[in-house]
Amino acid sequence: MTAPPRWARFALRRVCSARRLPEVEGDLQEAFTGWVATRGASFARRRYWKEVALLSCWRVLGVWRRHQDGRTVKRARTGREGRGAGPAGGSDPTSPSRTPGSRGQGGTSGLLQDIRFGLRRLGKNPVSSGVAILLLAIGVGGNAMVFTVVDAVFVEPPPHIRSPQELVGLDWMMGRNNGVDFGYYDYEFYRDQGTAFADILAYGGFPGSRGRRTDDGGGEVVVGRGEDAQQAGAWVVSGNYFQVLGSPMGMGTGFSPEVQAEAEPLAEAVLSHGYWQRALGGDPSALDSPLFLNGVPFRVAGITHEEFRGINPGEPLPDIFIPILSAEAISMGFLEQLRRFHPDGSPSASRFLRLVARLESGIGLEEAQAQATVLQENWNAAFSSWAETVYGGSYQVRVRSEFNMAPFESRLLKRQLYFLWFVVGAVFLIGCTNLAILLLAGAVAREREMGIRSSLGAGRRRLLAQLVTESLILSTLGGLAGVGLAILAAGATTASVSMDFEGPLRPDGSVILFALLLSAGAAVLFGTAPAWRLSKVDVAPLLQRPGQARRRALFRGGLVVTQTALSILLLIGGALLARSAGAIQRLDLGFDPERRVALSIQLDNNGYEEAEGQTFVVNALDRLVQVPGVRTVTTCNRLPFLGSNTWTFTAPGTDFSEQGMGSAFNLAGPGYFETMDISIVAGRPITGDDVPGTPLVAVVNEVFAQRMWPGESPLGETLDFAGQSAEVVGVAETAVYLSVTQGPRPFAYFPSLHFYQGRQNFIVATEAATAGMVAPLQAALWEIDPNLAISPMSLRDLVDGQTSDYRIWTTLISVFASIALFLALVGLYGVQSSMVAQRTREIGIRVALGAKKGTVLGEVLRNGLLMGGIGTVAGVGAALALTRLMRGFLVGVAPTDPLVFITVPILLLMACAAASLVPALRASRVNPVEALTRE
Amino acid sequence: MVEIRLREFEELVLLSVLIAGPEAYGTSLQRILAEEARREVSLGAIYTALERLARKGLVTSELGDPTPVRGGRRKRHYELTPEGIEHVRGVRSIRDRMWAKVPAELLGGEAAK
Repeated sequence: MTAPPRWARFALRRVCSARRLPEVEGDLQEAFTGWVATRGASFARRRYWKEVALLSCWRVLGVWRRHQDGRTVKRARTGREGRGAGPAGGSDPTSPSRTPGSRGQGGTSGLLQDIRFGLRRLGKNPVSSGVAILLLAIGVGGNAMVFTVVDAVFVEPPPHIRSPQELVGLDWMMGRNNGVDFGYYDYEFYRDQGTAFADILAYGGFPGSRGRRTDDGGGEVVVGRGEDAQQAGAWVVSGNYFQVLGSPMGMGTGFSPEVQAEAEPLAEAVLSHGYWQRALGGDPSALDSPLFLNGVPFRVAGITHEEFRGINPGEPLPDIFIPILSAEAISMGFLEQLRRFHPDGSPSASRFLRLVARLESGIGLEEAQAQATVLQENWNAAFSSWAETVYGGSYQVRVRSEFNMAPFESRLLKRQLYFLWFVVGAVFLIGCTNLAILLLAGAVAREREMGIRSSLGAGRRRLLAQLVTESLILSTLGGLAGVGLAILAAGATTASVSMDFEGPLRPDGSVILFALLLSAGAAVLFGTAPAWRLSKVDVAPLLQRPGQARRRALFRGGLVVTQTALSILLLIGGALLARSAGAIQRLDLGFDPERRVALSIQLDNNGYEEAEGQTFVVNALDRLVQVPGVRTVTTCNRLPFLGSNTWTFTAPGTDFSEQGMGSAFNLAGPGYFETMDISIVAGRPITGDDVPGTPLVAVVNEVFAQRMWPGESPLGETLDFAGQSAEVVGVAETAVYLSVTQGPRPFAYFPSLHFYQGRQNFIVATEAATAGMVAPLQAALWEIDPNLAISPMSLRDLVDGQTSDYRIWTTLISVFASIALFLALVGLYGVQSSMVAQRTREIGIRVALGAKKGTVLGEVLRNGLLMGGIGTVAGVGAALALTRLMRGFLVGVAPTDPLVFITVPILLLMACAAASLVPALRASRVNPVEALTRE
Repeated sequence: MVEIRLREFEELVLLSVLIAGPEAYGTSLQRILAEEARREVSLGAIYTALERLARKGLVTSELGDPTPVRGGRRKRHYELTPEGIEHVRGVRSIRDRMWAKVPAELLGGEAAK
């Protein structure tokens, strides 16, 4: 008769508890006989193996559950006679034998016993195992957070898009210029002539900026009418946008075929799922019903699918998708702008569209590039030598596989992610070294245990397996906790990179796998070294007295040095960022953002023509200043930090009479400088008298004046602007305009009443806090026009928006740096204490021989400072090399800021001394008699 | 009666114990589950389910005599406790009641069988 496989039976004996073994073996034996009879010997053998393997799995689960049940599980067994009664019944085939000694009788397996024993050991030292798990969790969690973003942005294809690998992005180069924004004429050209592309789509912000995340508050449409009117972010998209992406609607059918073919400009729009939920409460009746966009009814043709996130996971979806040709209905002259050409036939339309193409199947990137190049030559032929005259180079189009992100966005994001990864990586390493120290310290304490076990016959492999199992348990728990942390903190990572994500990214399966692999790697690397060392114990001397090894001290010293170096690196980085944030807070903006409300209105979107608009502006200024609590009122074209206008200025009789000087400018209304509290250092500000019909005037800032007319007064000089000559009548104090990281820039102001603009930003300086002022100010404007859509904001918020990135980064790095410091100090303390503990005998002898307490104390302290000192030197060296890379993040602080580079190391050394103090005191109090008689 | 909820598999194991009668032990339950419920399950899963049922007080067990086919090893025989039987009855009456209310035409040919 065929017998069950020998090794499987052997394994079964390892897995199954001794008490249950006979009946389980019996069942298996009987089943095996049956299988041999019905299915043949080889099937039976395989099946037997499978049964044993599954039994082991169930058994491990049982061990886990039992461990969770903890001590509540009664150990009551029903004894030798069979009837197991009631809930506590002893009918558990997988019940672990809880006495480790029983292994000798061949009852339980080594692995299971190791796991159980390891869990029990962890339970016995809840503090140190808790700390170890926490260390791993922090390190793994941080890395998992960063990995989540990397995975979502760079690895995982965007969801709900058909075959994203066929999509390519286009960008252009002209001479030294390059970009990703195309004109509509480009889109038409590629669509109609491109053979490389199966299809091509275009999308861009309406009208001219990019969706909700606009740099100037524009790019929005007014949704609804009357007091319910709200602004919403809108994109214009080619009619085939969803078709090319292969993204069916969540609801509705999407754009009608006429729109898809760009044959007819039907008034249709698609809403994003998020906006539909947010603004319309997810009301299904919104579909197909009219939605007023800038006062024009549009049919809601579809709601995007819930999962649809657009092409670029880092780019927020707009609220509304409008077919590009239908946008004319809500923005007069839009189409004309799309197809505007110079008299010589070269395009002059604005370039604001991104192009994404789907390749014909089977066509690679190179082939597509070759075809695009041929296409481009046709383009150059078609549009004369425009590119050469304007940009000094021929026009080239590149096809890139990174369709979902413009190159500069991806570079920026990568830089931030690398930085973040460096930080969390350092914390992870520190955590790992601490884990090693902890395990090593534990190992020292267990030398005797190991000695005893090995003298009782435990082989080296057996001891090693036990120790590695323990660190694997630690790492699994730590990894799981880390994943938990990453899930909890999912929002923090997305907030810390300069991308907006639709909702926080949730770690998925691959992230969890990454985290577990990471922690398992840590356990193997940092848990095996101590284990290896420990498994090599020499039995005889250990049983006599606690051992001590010089080499081990060196190893641990090395770990402490590494930790100190890493944490000082992080501390210096954190301190530099914190100083930057402080510098921004103290930064002299040149204007006063407190108690200033801005009311942003897009007049052309609200149906105003130039003449009406001018009247409205004058009326609104009159009306707003009468609102109680208002000090002064003005209007302007651009708000600080929200985009700028630029112009190349020429002035006769200067170095810039020919080539011109590039500078940003703003159109400022009467009372602008007073309202913004920007002082006029010479001449006069722009007033209400600077209206069309009077000579054009200009106010320039000090930098502008200094650069254009060095050493002279600019007052009375002439500046050419927009085909007119402006007389400089005033010089304003230099302020911060576009970004706090920018240095002083030239800037010019022209009277806004002279150049009517559809975008009007009324700024109101109030006497009290701004919070209560918004409603009465809006009401005042609605008295003039009840249908007006108004976006209010406070200037303070705009400034805070500038610093918020720094605050997040500073917080993040400070948190990680503090954790790193804490870990490093814990590590130092641990090493010092265990060293003192091991040397008690030696110290005792020296004290007995007359060593002074001070000497002993000093020696331990010196040891700590030495380790800290070496780490500090290494860390400062690394920081000097690496902080230069942070230059772009820093404001008002040099990357080698002496204050930071001196204070941080001093503080760290003090902390090292403090961490060594307790062990040092303990050493100095060693009583020689006790120490020598103890063992 | 204390409300006890069972997983489907546990319910099947309970029924198998009833079907097997006096010969209810690991291997026979495995065979019954395979034949009657079309479920190929491992002994480990069955043991675990039985243990859970025992803790809920629905089954009990006792060791039997050694038999030659098992290499001279003992069997552990399982049987339902009164609570177990009551539970199985309860489950069945609920199912029957609900089945009776399912409109026959919804099930088509299946219901006719």
